[in-house]
Amino acid sequence: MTKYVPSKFNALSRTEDGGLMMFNSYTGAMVHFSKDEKDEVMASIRRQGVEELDTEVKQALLDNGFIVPEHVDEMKRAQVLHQSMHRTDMMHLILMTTEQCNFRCTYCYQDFIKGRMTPEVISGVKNLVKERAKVLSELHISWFGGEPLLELDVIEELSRSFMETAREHDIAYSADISTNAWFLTRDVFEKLLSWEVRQFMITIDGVGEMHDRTRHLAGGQGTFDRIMENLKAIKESDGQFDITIRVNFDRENMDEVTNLIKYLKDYFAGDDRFGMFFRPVGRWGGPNDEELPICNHIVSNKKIWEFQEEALQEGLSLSSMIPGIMAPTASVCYAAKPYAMVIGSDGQLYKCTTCLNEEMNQVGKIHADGSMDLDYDKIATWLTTGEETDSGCQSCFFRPACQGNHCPWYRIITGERPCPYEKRNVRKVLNLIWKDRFAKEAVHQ
Amino acid sequence: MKVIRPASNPVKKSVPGNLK
Repeated sequence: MTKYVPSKFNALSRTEDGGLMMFNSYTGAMVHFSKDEKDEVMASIRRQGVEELDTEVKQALLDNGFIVPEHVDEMKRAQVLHQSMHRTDMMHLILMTTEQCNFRCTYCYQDFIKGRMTPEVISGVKNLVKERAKVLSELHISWFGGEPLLELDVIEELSRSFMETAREHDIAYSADISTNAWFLTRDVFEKLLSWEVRQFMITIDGVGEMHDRTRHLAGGQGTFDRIMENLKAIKESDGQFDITIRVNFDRENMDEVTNLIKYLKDYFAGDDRFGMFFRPVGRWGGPNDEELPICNHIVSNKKIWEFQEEALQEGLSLSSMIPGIMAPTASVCYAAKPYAMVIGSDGQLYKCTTCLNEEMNQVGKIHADGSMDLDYDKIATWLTTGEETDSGCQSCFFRPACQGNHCPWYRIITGERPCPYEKRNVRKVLNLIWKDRFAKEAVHQ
Repeated sequence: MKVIRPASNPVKKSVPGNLK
């Protein structure tokens, strides 16, 4: 008779209703068990295992991967999952339409030296996609910069080319953008939707002057009022989109985040196309790094989830990025994905978007015909600094989600394990996901 | 029991701090 034992990749969290949230990082399953089912669940995931799948609960535990047949080697499962990242039918390009920006955020790590993407690089990117289209099933583009909307016509020209190629070859096409939202008028927003840009990352660091303190124009002028006008206009759109409102906090604006949450709820509470995402300001290589009033990591880890909880209580949604990160391979950074590449506006190829001036991150060049000169020795470093040599990562419940590769650069620079904030506080995160879902169901009933 | 996200075949579908 087969014995079923608990998966090594489970995480559990008790919920306020006396129930239990369960997550498995290999299957991606998330299931909430009621108070009445909890005791049976706990009895069924004991180390000695169970032999009879004689109830609905036990069958659900098996179906979702929370228990596995005793003979299954889950370490091999994780290894094969890692190997499966070397797929050729997928491509993710992070395109810097320009490396200029009209903002000068105090914590920014970029240097704004290079300008608009050159005609040769635009041709090169189009040709690269056309060449690879024969084998692609998925193509995802991230519009990045600098401020990508400074060169909207580059986005238009490339999007039209990508969409046409995707149609011809039956490729699933999608795109996201990281923008400061200064140029994101309703008109520009609708154009972006028509070019399949549906995921947006927009940062607001406080109300009014508290935002303008860190996120001002190159001339020092404030930006909050215009961003909010744009967001209010976008809310009237009936398009399908997913906007993450990111809040970067430090010692100076930390106590004002509550005010920001109360301000934003008047506009976005109950509209799950807008989701909140809180992150500590970090020293990421910018000219002001030494002066940044950053929080220590203990405060950072605590505050992220306090703010998320507060936002949920006010009716604001979780950013889709949070449950998104909690899935197999979904916490692996693009720098560690073989099929992902960052393309600078001058055709320089990178793996990481943070350390553009580092020699080891300058991994090649793209030419007008779409061919690429690649330094595979440099690329190898980015692809092999994860779980391969870290026994801690190998035995971690989150291994299938991040593969030890949530941030290869962090590991290279600090020598520390780059564990995602979500993994460090997984119980809290599971609780928030349950609350987010529960709140939405209550609204829709 | 509420399935918030069902299991799927993971193979088929296959900055956390300061940098200085």
